[in-house]
Amino acid sequence: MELNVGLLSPEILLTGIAVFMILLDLITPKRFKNKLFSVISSVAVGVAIILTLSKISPIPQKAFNGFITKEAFTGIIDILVLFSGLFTVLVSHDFIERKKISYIGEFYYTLLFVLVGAMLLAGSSELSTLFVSLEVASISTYILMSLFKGDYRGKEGALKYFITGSVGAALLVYGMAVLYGLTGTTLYGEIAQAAEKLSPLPLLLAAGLIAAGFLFKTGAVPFHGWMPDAYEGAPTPVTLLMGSAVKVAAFAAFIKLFIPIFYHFQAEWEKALGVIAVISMFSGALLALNQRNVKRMLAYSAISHTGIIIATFLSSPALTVFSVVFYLFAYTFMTVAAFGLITILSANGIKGEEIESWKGLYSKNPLLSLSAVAIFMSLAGIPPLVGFWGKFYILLALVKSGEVLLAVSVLIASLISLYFYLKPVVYIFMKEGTGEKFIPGAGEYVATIVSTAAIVIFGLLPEVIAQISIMGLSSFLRSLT
Amino acid sequence: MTPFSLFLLSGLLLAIGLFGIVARRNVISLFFGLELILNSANVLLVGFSKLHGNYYGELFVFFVLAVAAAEAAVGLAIVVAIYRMKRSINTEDFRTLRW
Repeated sequence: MELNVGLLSPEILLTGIAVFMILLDLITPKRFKNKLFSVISSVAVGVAIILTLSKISPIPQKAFNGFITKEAFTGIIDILVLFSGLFTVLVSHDFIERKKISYIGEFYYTLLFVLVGAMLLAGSSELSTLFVSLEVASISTYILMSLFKGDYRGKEGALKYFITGSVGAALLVYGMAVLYGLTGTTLYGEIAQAAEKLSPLPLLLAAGLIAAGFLFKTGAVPFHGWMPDAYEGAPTPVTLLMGSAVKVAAFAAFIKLFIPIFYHFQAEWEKALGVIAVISMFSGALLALNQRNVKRMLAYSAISHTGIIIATFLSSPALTVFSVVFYLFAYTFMTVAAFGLITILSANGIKGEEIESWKGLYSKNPLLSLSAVAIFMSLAGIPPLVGFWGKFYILLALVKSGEVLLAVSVLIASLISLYFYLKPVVYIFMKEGTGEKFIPGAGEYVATIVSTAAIVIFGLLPEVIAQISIMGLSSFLRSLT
Repeated sequence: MTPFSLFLLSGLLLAIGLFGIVARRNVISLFFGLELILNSANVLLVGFSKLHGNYYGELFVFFVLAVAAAEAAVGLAIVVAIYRMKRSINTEDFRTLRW
């Protein structure tokens, strides 16, 4: 066992750049700040992507005496996190240009800290590392949400997210303390060895508390109260980051913790998790039906998607890892594209979030309207797009493991959600427009169009993502033995 | 010191903290509840560290304390920012975002 610091070079690079930006923020004149900091952070994230790509290997690598384990699975999640970070930087440049906030430097380096936290979260294989990186990502998100001056909604959303998120984190620590008490160690590998000899009842207590902590973070139903408020209240680029990077990393950490330690008594907890999954997917889909605000609607749809991902945990471990990686891949691009589109449309303040103001978009900007159709149809799971393949593999995994009832409920929830995904599309193609002009900035335009293109291209070539997910799965299984 | 007495103490702290979060409407009181829950986990970690005879648990406590401090700082900052706009720290007044 040695330190192996080189494995963490992307995280170290991002942290270094962020600290450097704190200093640079003091001497830069205000009018250059937005351009300078967005260029620095996008270059830093780009270099981090290259570094991560160069370090992906099917053989699991350990750093810091096994506190961090990076397999191809973690590498894939890191790439997704970094891509959504890059798109967030692009989108926020234009957003800040319009809003004229007074804390520009703070916004960009806090954003980099969110990415560092999310990457460490996906890589951690020790309880305290997991907790600290989760909190780095979440506390930075609270700051980002409430940073915009005079924006009351963001602060209210931040407070609600803060209270529920902290309760979730506190329950997570309590579960970790119980787990430590039962096994006497905090490393996943050693916990898994010790856990096999224990009786399931005390382990179930730890599993329940830890699962509750993660369900708070990912927004499954009994713990979903913050999701709509936080998604609606947060500035749209921050919603983008919350919905993609933080959520993807939280799911990855959940898998890395749950599968080695708690899978040998799956029969004891699968009923409870199945009920949570079904309730999440249905209540998310049903509550989204009547929303006028597109961000709020997407928040409820995110709850529904969370339910679908959690349902996958009831199949066998190998199928779970494969289909969750596939789904997260698709989900990241869909979330980035959807919130990028909303940022463009809300150029005139809050109005673009209301579904009425989408009327007649087709006559104003055909390319954006067509990409909106692709985004919403992909979220609903219509065949040639990537969202369909994500749902397809989850259904396949569920049917293969004999969970036909769950598979049917995934199908029904998707059918319900088709209604509210079609609503914006209908509004876009309505004739009578309300005539609000908007000029999209270059960054947000590129981010939306590129991620929409990814939705379409990967939808036509699903075997590319399938290959990547299989690589992630094989390296994940290798790290268990 | 037995595991049972440890669980009794930390469970009591956890219950008080959770009750505070559910019952109180003042944001500052909510923060008290949060700190109590985190500290109930700390009690458990330190106690188990002693019982197992290794230092994983005690080290964990330092990280939990640091994170709790950061959390309190950010949370209070958000509350101050909201108080400047709304002149209230009662959670029932924060209902701009609904349905």
